[in-house]
Amino acid sequence: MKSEIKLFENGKRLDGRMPDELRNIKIKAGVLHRAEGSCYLEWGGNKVMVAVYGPREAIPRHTQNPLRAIVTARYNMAAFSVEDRKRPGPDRRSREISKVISEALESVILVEKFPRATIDVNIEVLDAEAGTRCAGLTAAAVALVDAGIPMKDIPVACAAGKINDQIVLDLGKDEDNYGSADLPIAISPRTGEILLLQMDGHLTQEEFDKAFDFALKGCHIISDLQKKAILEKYQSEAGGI
Amino acid sequence: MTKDKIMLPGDQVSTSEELLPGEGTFEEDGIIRATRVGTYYVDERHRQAIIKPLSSIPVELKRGDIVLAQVNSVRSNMIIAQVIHVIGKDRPISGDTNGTLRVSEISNAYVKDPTTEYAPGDIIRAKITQVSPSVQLATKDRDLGSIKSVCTKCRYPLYKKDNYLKCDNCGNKERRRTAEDYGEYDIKKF
Repeated sequence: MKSEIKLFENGKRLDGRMPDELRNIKIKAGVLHRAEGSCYLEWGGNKVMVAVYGPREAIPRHTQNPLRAIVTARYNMAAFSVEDRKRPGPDRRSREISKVISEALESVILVEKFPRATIDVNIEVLDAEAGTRCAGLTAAAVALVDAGIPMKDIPVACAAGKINDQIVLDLGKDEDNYGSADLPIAISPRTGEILLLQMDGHLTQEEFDKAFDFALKGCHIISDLQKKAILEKYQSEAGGI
Repeated sequence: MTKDKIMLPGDQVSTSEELLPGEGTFEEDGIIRATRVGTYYVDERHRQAIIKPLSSIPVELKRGDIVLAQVNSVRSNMIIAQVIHVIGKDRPISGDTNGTLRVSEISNAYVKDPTTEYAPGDIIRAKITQVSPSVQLATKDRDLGSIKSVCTKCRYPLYKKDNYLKCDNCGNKERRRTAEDYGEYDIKKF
């Protein structure tokens, strides 16, 4: 989509950020006491709540895998999360996001430890402002750690994109709507392995490489925030040992 | 490496030359890494690296666990019970919960027929004697056995009288292998 709207002013973006600057992120682990693991995340205007249940027996039984656990992420947007009321229930978009997040998480969880089981990850988007899949996955990772699910790494996601022919990190709402490309990625920060990579819009090879580097850098910054949030919850408990 | 440091999933704790990967760790390319949040310990006896969890962790059945189970069916030489809870844990069980209890493991006394000891629907307290390849239970101790049974005729709860169980609704008398504290244990919390 070519835009007529100016998304840049004096080298700064609409919300006053630099091209390589993230929105403010706040992560809190273990906020729901009924869930086995949970996380609340605020990422700019996004507000996401994640609850993890399991591993438990997968139902219906034909979904079970006798060799490993399945990861069932459910991405859901609240009716009040967007400006116009969103019709509740799963739709094409949220089912796609559920699927890609499930697959991303499956590759870091030690699924072989729990044959026939399912690990349920419920991602509720309470307030949306572009980049909810990245926010959802980032929060899901923290909730999984909180649930004590064995994992090889703490996955993290971040997006980059192109607005007014310039590559920027972490698109905001208007940038996403009127910009020309969006590139969300999820990585395993320890190994650099890519767990999720999607793109809408067009980028040339050079633009893609630059956007990818931006997103990668963003991921590593957010990864530190995730770790800080987890440590914050458990540091006090460790002091008592 | 300091022992008080909190390890996160993916953090390196040791190498495979030095130690074996124990609970809460995994091995990758010769390096032992943590799989959960916790503090690092070395089990010197088994030369294992262990991450003592700080978060709650999934409940897995282990040999020697005392569990609550619900009797599904009573066969001629064994009963089949669904393990529903591990005593002392507050999370549901992950993995196989289908337990079997052989006649010989029901009681210290000789049991000819399991139907005289348990009936479908009973909630029993049992000990896990085997987990793999199948979950095996035993109720040989005094504190093991039925903790809650219902009348086989009218499904009303049975109350303990001397050495038998009685139904207050229809007056039916039944025999069960009961635990010492039959009827006193609060199973409402599940």
